[in-house]
Amino acid sequence: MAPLPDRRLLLGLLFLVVVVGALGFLLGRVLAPRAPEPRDSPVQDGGAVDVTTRRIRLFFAVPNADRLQEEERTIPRAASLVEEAKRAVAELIKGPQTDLNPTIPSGVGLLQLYFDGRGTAYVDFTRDLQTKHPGGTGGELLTIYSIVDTLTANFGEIQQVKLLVEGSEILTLAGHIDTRRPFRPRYSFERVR
Amino acid sequence: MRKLSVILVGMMASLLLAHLAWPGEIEVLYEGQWKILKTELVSGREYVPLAQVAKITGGGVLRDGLRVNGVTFRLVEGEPGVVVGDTTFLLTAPPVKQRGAFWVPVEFLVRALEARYGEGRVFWNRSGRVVWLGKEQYNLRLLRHHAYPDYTRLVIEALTPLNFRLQEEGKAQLSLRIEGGILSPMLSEAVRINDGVVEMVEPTQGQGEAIFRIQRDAFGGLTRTFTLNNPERIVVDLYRVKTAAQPPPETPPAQPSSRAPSAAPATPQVTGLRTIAIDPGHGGRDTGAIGPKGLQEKDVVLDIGLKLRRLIQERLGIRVVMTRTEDVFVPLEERTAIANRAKADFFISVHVNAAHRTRAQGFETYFLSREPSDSAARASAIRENLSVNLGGLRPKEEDALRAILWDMANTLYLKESSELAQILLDELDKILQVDNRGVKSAPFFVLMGAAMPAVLLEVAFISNPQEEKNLQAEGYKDRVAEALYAGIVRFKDRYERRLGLVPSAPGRSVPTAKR
Repeated sequence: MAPLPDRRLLLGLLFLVVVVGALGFLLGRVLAPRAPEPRDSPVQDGGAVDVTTRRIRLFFAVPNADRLQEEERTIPRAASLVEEAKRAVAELIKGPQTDLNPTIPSGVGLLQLYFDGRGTAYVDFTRDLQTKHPGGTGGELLTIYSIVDTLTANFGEIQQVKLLVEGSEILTLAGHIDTRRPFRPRYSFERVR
Repeated sequence: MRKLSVILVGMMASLLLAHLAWPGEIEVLYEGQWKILKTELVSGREYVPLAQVAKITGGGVLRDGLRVNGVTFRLVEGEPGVVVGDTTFLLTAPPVKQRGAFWVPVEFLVRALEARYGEGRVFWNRSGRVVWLGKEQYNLRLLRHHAYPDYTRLVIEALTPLNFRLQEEGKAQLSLRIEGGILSPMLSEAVRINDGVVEMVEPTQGQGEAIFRIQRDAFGGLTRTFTLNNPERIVVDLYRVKTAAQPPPETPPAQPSSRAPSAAPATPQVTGLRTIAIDPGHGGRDTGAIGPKGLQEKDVVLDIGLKLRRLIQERLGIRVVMTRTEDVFVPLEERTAIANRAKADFFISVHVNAAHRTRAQGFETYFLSREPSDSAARASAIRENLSVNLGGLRPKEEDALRAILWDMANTLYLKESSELAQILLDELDKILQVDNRGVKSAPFFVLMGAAMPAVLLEVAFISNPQEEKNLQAEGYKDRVAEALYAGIVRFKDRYERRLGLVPSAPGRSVPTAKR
């Protein structure tokens, strides 16, 4: 029996894990991607800056469904733009906490969110986004632009958004609007002159 | 002690294993080679070893990244930002280290290949799980076509100016040969057009040239070619071969009124509004929106569309083309194609609206727009195209002149569509006692192919219980149809006055129904 070498190996291994973990943590802190500055800096009452959360603006439908209106919410900061953007979309899916109306059918899941590093975010939803959609041009525009506006308003790097369903491009969401191209933000649907 | 170590190692192994589940594969096609690249899932994302990326791109792995073709990619474990020269791009997931070596998300391979072979040569099909290299850098990007009343326009977008010639190849066949043209992989298939002028266009890659074989519907007919720049484009206009007028697909109207333009004039001349396309939305397996009591959009809009057709035919004596007259599924592209083939003067798509958990009610009308920022670009493109067209004109080519007039008419579609949307909205407002939600614009799939002014109407919210009830009543649908009819009469008047067909005189009586 030779327990000593084993124990030494184990201790060495443990030491390594701790050191690498600590280094990784520090490195992660130092190199954490510069999260986009929120429009309103997160200054608390006492003037201290809260670095663990950020305020985001979510876009939901007004009661008569003719435009989008923002609702503020606090989300935990994440390690990357993509992770924070996912959280923002997850909040959007949860629906409004005010008297605004939801824009995404309940039960829809966010599968993935990609950022191409050149301004376009790809947001991939479950099939329910199409099959559970109430239809109508009005409802379709609200769904599309609530996602687009939420991502572009909160993340400066995202300039346009392309919608995917189960990993694939879709022609339309509910039979009206062309979803083959990425969308730029739009807050009202009144006539464009 | 040994037990403890086994447990610890086991824990670490299971931790590792949790990160290495579900191995997948990606195919890489490059320089005649075909390689299967094993991928591993880390936190749900697919990764490939950096060493493999280096091997495929002929690059070298550095302690902190990869060097390919003189380009250095600096990687930091856990950091999605990759520094390339003085710029940074973001990966969708950060590089990770496994067994001491970097692993990178699959899209990094695409970036590295682009550094090696140039952008425009690397293609990544996410769903097909293939990354491949175009054989050579292509310079012909895409082929577009558009049906105008008198001709069909083919537009080939290029990356650089190229010489070309159009030649007859035989009966009703032409070939456009582009010197030094290299087709993008997007141009690998024949495009069926079947619009009454061109049957199909088939791009093929030849030696030192790209060939577009154009199969026309009939022998003869004028052609015209010219180029545009920014982006570089080669334009081929193929004119309709003049034959006896084709019989209209719809039966002629029952009671032509005295104001109806005479059908099929012997000589080509400007005529008034002759054909209206009505598109009842959805149909068949596509129910459209469904009301709280189960009323389906596809049924409501078909009723309204058929009522409107009857009003127009009986009172105006104008031909009406329907995209559907029963409960069938019609693909969106087919709907405007039907209108284009019938040479309709305008296109009305009838829908009812819906929204989530809302008390919204009322009507709104829409016309087609791209993204708002596109309008300025579009206007400048139109200006540019017009000046080039005029420059390339031979003085006595009447057909060409007419073509230009049609080009100009095309630029008016936006204006006319928005006018039509406003007129129809006003008429709905006069008859219905619900919210007027205004004229709006959006990038509609169904309106995109229309070679004519086109609008989409949302006449009520089927998601609103009261409006659903209204839409079940024949009388209500009759009123909606009457309102749309009144709008069409007004639009027709303006249209014909603009063409100088009727004198501009206020207070003229028009055939409208008593309300």
